[in-house]
Amino acid sequence: MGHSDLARFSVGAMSHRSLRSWLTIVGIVIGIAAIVSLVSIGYGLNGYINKQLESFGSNFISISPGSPKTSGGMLGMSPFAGTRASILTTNDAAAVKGVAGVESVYTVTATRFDVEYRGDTVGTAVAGVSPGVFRDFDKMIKIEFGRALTESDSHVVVIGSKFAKDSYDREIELGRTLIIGNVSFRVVGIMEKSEGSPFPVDNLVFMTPDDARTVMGSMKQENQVDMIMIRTQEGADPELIAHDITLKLRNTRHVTEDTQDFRVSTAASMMSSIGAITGAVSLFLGGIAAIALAVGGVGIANTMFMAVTERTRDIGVMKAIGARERDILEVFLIESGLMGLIGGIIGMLLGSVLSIGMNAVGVPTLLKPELLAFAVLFSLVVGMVSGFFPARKAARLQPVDALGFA
Amino acid sequence: MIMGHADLFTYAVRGLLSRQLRSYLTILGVVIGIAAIVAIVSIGQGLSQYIQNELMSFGGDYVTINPGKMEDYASSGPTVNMPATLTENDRKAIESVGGVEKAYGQVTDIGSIEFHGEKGSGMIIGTSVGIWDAFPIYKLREGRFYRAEAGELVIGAGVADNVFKKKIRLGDTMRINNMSFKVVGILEKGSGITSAFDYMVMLDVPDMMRSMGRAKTIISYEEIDAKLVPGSNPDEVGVAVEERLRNLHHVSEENQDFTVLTPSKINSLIGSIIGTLNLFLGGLASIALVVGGVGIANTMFMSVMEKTREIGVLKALGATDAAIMELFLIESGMLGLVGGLLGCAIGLLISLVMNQFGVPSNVDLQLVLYAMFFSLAVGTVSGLFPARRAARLEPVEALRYE
Repeated sequence: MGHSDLARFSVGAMSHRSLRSWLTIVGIVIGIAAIVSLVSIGYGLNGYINKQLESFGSNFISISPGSPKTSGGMLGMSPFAGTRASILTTNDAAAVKGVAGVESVYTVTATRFDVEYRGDTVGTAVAGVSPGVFRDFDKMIKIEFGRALTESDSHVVVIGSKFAKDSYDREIELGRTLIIGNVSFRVVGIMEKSEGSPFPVDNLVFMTPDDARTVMGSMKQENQVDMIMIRTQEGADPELIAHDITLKLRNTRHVTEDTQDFRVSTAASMMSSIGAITGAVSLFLGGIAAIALAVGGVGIANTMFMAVTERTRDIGVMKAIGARERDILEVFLIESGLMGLIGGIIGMLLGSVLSIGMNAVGVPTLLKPELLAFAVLFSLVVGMVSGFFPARKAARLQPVDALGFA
Repeated sequence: MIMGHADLFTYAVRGLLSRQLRSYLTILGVVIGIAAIVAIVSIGQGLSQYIQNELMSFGGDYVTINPGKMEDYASSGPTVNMPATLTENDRKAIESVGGVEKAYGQVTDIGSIEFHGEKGSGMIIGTSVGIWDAFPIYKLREGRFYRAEAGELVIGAGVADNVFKKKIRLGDTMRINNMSFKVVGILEKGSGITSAFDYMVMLDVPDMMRSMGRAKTIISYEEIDAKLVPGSNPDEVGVAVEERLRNLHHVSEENQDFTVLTPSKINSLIGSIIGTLNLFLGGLASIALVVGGVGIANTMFMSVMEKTREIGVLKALGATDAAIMELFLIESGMLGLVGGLLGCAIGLLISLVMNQFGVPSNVDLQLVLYAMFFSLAVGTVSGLFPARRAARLEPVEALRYE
């Protein structure tokens, strides 16, 4: 008997018992549909976050204080960054400027401050940033009213939308004066709402680094900066530049790989650390859904055992006319594999529909071709593995016993 | 022929036992589903219990007030970004509300820390003197707490032992934002919620304000914690505090610019988050049970088919449709129930093993009973269509079936 004959025999047998076959397939359909739709949520989440990060652009590097061995939160700005005492200074920023491939270097110095408006005082985060940030990171910091900071500015601030609206009894308008650390500042710009962005600026007050130094005075060490942001040249590889920066700073700060007290992150390294988290979420959800598939596999095994029992005489006849054990094994493996495969294809389609439906109601999902291909292949494997023991049982039947089976 | 319920039961069980392999495989499907549900839900409950225990360490008689609306915390992320709109006036007003014993203000910032020439930056937290008496979460490893405006501070165990090359000891001098302070106490290494204190420097609010160059008389807080008079009801006090602050800030309930939380509010908030998560994960695990149910239906359809002649005989002997229906429902229900029993046992075992590895899990009788009931229900429902098919067979047709 050729392979196609064996296949035809299997299909014929399956459609004979169509109710049973369909119910068995339904089990696989449910399992695969659950896996596809849930894993697509994990992918979708990853895509959603990466899209947020893309607002930094791929040619972006940030440097923050603290040991690279301790996690520093999403942007290295965690309050627990100081598990190893260290600060960055303008000297570091200057050193980095000389690294090949670095286009521009910006510093951020931040602290909380009392901000007075019309006699009311509220504490909020105040940051001194190089004005170039507004130009180079215009995808994540957008001005809604007024203008951005410029290099020649002095005693002016740009503020977050939420801080402008909600912090005082009366909304802060353009041109108004805020008193920060006994110095008067004029509001020249109000930023767009940044809700959901990885770099929320809604409650921030931005001023130039010089103004920040005046205001913060003794609160910071001399020349201290809290973060250094770098734009790399178009076409240069940020990973290579990040590596060069790390070596350069180790040299100027007199630290080794072991005692390194600063962190260098690129857009890609941030994305990969986020990918690790969303990957774990996908794996966990997919794993739970896979339990359903395992139950579906048990259903296939059950159906196949029954099929073998019912067809004991058929098997006897086939063996008597010369079918080898391998042929019998193949007949039953094709049958169980086919049930898995059909279930997988229908389940993959159903899961895709579910995933698209969820996307339509706002849950971020992403259907990757790999996922769909994997689902179908996996269901085929589950079908064949589940059918293995019943098929072996069939293959090992003795022709005489099988024919004598009533 | 009149068959009693007991007869039907015996008959059904004998039917199951005669097709052992098939019955076991069918049951296995239910076992996997129920075990997954029991294990996952018990871990969810354990987690919820763990968090509630952690919260208990704050004691039960407090009210905490934060600036901004509740929704702001979800959208703006870390509280460090929240403007501190609560003032010393607010703190005094809260202290004057009936039922409040004392109100403590709190400010946090990231500041520069210097010790023995080594510089770093870290979390600085200013809290009113005495907060440690009101909230038993602050525990000293050595030394004492700071006095009011005395230039003293207390540091977390991590700051003392790990942050600087040289370990910090009691009596040492540290510079915070370029102002000198004397270390008078070191906190115990924290666990759970209190591990947040490990890398923190704690000092008196006016001292902190001064070090931050905020020498003004107006102090703004990011959080005010009110310790209550023993025996007072936190929820009632919470409502009173809310009313007082609304009056003071000239706001209505809709545009309220602060959030008042009580222990019961925090508990129900966390309870609802974990409950939703539990429902979601339990729901996912239930998919496996649904597949198990399909397996039961499949097995029962086959069993009905195989027993067509028997059904014919029973009917010819006077068995009613209801009796036949019952016969098969008992059979499918048993498949579900036995699967549920074994599934519960395995699920509990998984949950116990997880517990050994430090995953909090909590098994209550309610969950077990629910799982058993659910498995019985799944078995019965899955058997409904096959049983109806059996009950509706015409005796004559059935007897003729080959």
